[in-house]
Amino acid sequence: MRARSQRLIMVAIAGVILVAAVGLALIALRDAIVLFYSPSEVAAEHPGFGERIRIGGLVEDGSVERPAEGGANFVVTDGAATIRVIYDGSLPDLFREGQGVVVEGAFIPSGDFEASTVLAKHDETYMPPEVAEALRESGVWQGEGER
Amino acid sequence: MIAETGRFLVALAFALSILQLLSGWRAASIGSAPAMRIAARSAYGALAAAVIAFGLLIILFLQSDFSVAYVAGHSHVDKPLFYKIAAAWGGHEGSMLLWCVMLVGVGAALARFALRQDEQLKNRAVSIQGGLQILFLGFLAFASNPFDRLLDVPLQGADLNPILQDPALAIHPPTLYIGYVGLSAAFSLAVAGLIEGRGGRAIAAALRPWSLFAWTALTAGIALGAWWAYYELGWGGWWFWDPVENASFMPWLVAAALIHSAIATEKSGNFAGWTAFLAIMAFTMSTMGAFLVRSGVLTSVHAFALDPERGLWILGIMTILAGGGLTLFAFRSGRLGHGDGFALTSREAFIGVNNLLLAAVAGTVLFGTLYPLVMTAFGVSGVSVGAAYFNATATPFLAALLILLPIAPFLPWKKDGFSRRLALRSTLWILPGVLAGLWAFLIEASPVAIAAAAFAGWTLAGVATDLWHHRVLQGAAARFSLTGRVLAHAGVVAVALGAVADSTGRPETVRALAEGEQIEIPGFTLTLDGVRRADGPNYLADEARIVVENGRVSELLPQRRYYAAADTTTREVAIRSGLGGDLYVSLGEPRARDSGEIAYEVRVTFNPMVWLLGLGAIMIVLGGTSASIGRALSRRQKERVS
Amino acid sequence: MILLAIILAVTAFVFAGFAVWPSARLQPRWLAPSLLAGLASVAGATYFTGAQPQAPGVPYQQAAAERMAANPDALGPAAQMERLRDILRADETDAVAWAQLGRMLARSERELEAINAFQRSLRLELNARTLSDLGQTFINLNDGQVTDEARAAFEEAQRMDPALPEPGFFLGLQAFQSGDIDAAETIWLDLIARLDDRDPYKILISEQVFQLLSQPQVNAGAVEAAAASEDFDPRQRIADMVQRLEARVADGDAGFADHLRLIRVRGMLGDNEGGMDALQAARDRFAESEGAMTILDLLAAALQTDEGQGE
Repeated sequence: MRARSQRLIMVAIAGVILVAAVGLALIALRDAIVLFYSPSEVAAEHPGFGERIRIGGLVEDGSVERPAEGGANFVVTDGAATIRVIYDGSLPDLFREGQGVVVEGAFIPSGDFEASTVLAKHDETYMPPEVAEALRESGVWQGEGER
Repeated sequence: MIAETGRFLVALAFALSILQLLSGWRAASIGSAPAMRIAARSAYGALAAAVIAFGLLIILFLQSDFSVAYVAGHSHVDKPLFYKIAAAWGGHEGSMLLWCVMLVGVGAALARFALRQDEQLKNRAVSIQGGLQILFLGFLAFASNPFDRLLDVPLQGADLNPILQDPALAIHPPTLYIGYVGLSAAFSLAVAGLIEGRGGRAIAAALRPWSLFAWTALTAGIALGAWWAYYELGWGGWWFWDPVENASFMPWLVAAALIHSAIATEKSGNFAGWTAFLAIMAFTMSTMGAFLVRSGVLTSVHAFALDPERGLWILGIMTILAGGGLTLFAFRSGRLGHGDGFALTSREAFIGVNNLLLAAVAGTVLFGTLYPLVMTAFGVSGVSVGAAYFNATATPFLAALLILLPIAPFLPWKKDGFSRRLALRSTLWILPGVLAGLWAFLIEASPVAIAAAAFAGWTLAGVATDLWHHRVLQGAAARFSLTGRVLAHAGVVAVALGAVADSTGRPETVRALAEGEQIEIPGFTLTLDGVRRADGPNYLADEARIVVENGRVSELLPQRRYYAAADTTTREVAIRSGLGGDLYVSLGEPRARDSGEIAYEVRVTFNPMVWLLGLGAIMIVLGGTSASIGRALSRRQKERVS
Repeated sequence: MILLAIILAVTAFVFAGFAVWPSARLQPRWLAPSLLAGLASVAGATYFTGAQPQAPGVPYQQAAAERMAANPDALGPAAQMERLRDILRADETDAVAWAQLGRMLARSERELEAINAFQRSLRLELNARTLSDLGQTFINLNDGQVTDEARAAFEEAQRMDPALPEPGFFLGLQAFQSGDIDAAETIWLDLIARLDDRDPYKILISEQVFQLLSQPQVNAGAVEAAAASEDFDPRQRIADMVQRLEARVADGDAGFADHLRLIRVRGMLGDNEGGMDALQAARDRFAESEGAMTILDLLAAALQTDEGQGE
């Protein structure tokens, strides 16, 4: 009798923690999900200002400006559409023109994309899967790297 | 010739593992002594073969033999000797070989040291471990062999990814792998125990020392990785909730739950099924860690390279581990037996809640990590889950864990233990909590930090009382165990505090500076004094001299390096550590101003009290080590008695 | 390969023998040998998936020694570069090898490394040729701009060896890029006059100088403003320019560059005869400048061939 009631209490505690975990996960997930767009998807779907998203593509050749006061502006392209990115942080070391890049941030009313993070990949043989797919869809890239 | 011999040794280790599986199984089934000796000798032989193969791989690196694809892909003749050796495990194939060396090492250790009093269970475990060896050595031999050759020998190697050329990262993978692979012993023992129909207590007693050791190594490995990320990636952070980091954090959580629940199971037989389940899950999670790192299915800041074939292999291995292990568990867990039962305020109950909380964190981290993958399966690609999710889900449970932590050591096993004395004692802990909170308030910390300081004050007071209250314990074994427990618990608190302190730091300041110009951040003035060349053996570098003033003057020398062979630029940050925190400076790209002046991008952050993280990690590792020693001593005592 | 076979066989025997030894005295008798054979065949089969027993190991030292023994000209550029690096690994103080390596790197557009190699060479031994190459690499790195670093290198090179053609040319280019066209003209004409007639650079540089000096002098801002206005007519603008040039030549206050511009613009408009006239005017005016005459002679030859082709 005693053992059973104790087991019941443990199960009840487990239930409470499980419910809390699931609830918390679902609520937190809603705010923390970041969707990935390619530049042409942005052109088609117009994500709203201030919405946190990721954009991936190639850094357009010759588009990188490095203002003297710091930061960098550049254009991300997938061959079909382009997006101007404003970034006031420090570019990652592997950032290069013509290479794949993923930027996270939000659009600002001027129509530019203000990035809070810029990710370039560690390994230059490595293309971020989303970028590879987006580029393949727009026909810019015919790499063999299957997913 | 060296490469081919290495390849053959891998093949031999594979073949010997098959013999280990078969003869170990036979020894356990019919109790044949020769079969047992053959199983043990197979394990020793496989270990010797794997170790020699690894040694040969290192020799190939020292020779810079670029007819070996793995060497050509990860080395360069001009690379410093230390990194030539470290490159042997710096890439996928080599690290897999290291994984296998450790796996057969565990097999040999099981055959030699485990369970002298229960040979049947030991032989079964050796046999199961042989099965694990077959899976991973098969993967190594057939899908990622480090001894693969290039017929068209390149003139020069491609060099190891420069960010991996770093002392911390050279020892990070081996340490982490000791942890991951050490959990295979817990897996094999749990599966063997289920097959043999042993009771929960026997299984828990058998797997406890292995789990504790593995968990300690895992802690050290994760800490080294975080440290490396902190000063080498140059982003100023040490934990990014990146899939690869989560991949090592999940087995850590599961192993942490395991080492607690196994104590309860060994003492009173409670949680027998749960302990076996955790033992199976811990190693499965470790393998998933490898899967996430190597397959590239998830976008990660650390991802190596994307290779679907290898991903499939590891997915297959994982399916066998989790599927086989859990199916067996479902059929056999009934035989584990019921425990003695326990009261609601007994130590078991608190360990149970500890386990539920750790499992909740592991579950939410797993969910967040795999969510993008699940969405891809539903045709929605490119979803990623930000750090905000992990912070929001993990923090409440970890906080609850820390609040309950100090009470448990004062509770008795099985019986109700909540006395007036304990109530009084824990009320007293509130005082340091309030004082810590007040101090945080006075230095104008954020509300989160104030709360964290208050909780930490409470928990630390409790941990200190634990040490004081149990100081009368007799015998070296008990003292080592107590020290281990207190150190590890206090270490966890230190890490939590460090994490909170770090999260209260200000964002980075980035500015382009020409010579003589300054950046000011609160408390510090930094002046760029000049930039000079500081080339190394396999890189070209600019080194900035930055003069820091905050009452006293010091200088920092961040570098920006260009590794020609890998065509990669890296930054070497300069850090000035102090009690208040780290001043963290990195040097970015140069840019020309209209005036023709060259300005260098300089990034400055102040990370408050980062040393707490390092201190906490060291305390946890020392605690785990101390508890392992205590455990070994008490076992020796028991053996002497019997 | 025989040696490898022996090593592998012995290894297999030792390891497998060690493992199956406890079964040696067991019944049935065939148990131990068959275990041994089983182990060996599984190991062998695993080994032979993907094995390359015939491929010898190539330790780097051996590969380097073979390269060193080979005739450098028979090697490809990459191997030649590696050979130079091997030489430098053995003796870091070989200034000539550093300079050669720098040249090869510069040719394969690895400017940063090339600059490093040239600087290493120069630290060991100052050499006008290497200084000049260093300067040119700086220019390539900076998309054609003659930077201060490049100028310093060229000045030093010219001081050391005034006969070397490139430093003079690029120093002139530096003046030209900074807008001081008169200074550039003086430097270039001096240089051309100084060069030996048989020097292939003489013609090359003369052509370059003509191209540069005869560029129309325009103010970029003005052009954009004009292009934006509605009544913009490029032909009208060219006609205006020609008129201005003609007026200046007629007045006698046209510089050498103005003469070249007039020749070029007439040539471009297909007015060959006008071009020849302008050329003649220039020859009369600059008869005493050897450098100018070299360029004009070249132009005359070029215009005549054009005419010849035209007929």
